[in-house]
Amino acid sequence: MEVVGILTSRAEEADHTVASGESDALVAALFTAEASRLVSLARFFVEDRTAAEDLVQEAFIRLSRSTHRIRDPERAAAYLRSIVINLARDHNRRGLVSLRHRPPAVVDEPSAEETAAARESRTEVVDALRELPRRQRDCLALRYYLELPVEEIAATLGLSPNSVKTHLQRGLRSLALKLEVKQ
Amino acid sequence: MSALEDRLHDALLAEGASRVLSPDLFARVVEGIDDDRARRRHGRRVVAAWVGGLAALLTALLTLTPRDERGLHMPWWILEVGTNLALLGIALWLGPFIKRFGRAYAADVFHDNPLTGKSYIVLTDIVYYLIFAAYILFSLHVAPQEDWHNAISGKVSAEQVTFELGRLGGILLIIGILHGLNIVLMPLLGRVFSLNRRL
Repeated sequence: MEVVGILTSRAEEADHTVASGESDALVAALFTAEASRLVSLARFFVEDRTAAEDLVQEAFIRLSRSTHRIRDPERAAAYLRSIVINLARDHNRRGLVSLRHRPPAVVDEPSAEETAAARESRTEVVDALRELPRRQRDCLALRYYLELPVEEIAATLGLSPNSVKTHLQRGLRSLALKLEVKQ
Repeated sequence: MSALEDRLHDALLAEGASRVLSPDLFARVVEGIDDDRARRRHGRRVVAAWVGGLAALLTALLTLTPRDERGLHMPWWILEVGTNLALLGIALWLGPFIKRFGRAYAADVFHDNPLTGKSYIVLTDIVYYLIFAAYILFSLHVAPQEDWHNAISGKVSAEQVTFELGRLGGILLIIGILHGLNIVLMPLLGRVFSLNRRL
């Protein structure tokens, strides 16, 4: 009886090891392909780099919990993007409470060759994007940073393609107004 | 694309390209996943242990309790002992369990004087346990009570079950009131201590 128990537990352990090995391989491959873009994407939604990297780290942890449910590995990146966007939304809802218990933020280093004017123009656009309503900001970042088609944005955000088009149009209009006001 | 779309696209791409990942991010992700798996494994074991323990307890109770054609006849003292164990379990487990959620709250309240905060928490723990111990001792019975109507039969009666449920409800109420008072009073005390320190 004991031998059967040991064999069963070893078999289960072996299954578990295979499953977690596959999950680890998927996570490693996705990290190589997506981590940098995901941190940049998160950085458009949250206030500093530390927070953006924390969100991406948490997104990979959540992905590793549910890799067994992902039937199409091609969709894993889209799933990861939607986790990051949802985490950013929750992070901004929690707001200042979490900030009080966090270590000091790491500041983004500007590149040496970039001119001050170009940096200023870029910062102006990104700041205006951050001030938009959440859905408009999410749609614009996915469309113009990750260059996703409308259908994929809709799938990532759980919206209909028509709503995505509406958010994109409204977002661009609001952005134009904000940038005009600043100029 | 319009000029605005071009500007937005270029700005986001340039912003994205200007950022470098922290070199330790992958290590943090791997460590986070390992910790998460260990935590979830531990959680599953705890749940399995609780389910197993409760099933064993129930089986033991049903097996050891005398029965006849009219049903189970549990001696009154088994329910009394079981209730006392449950009260002890609630006092010893629920207090620390609630405390886990109050750490950030206490850290915020006693931000200026963390040592006072630690003493405050230890002292309130002592007060809680004294009150719980007193409650259990005051409500414990070593013989069937007259109003339980089971002095002759020596078996559990509906009145005794009602009384024991009342004891369980009582300790939960005490824990709730004490923690509620603590939540309200702690910020006031923290403020007073901070002012004293500044003066």
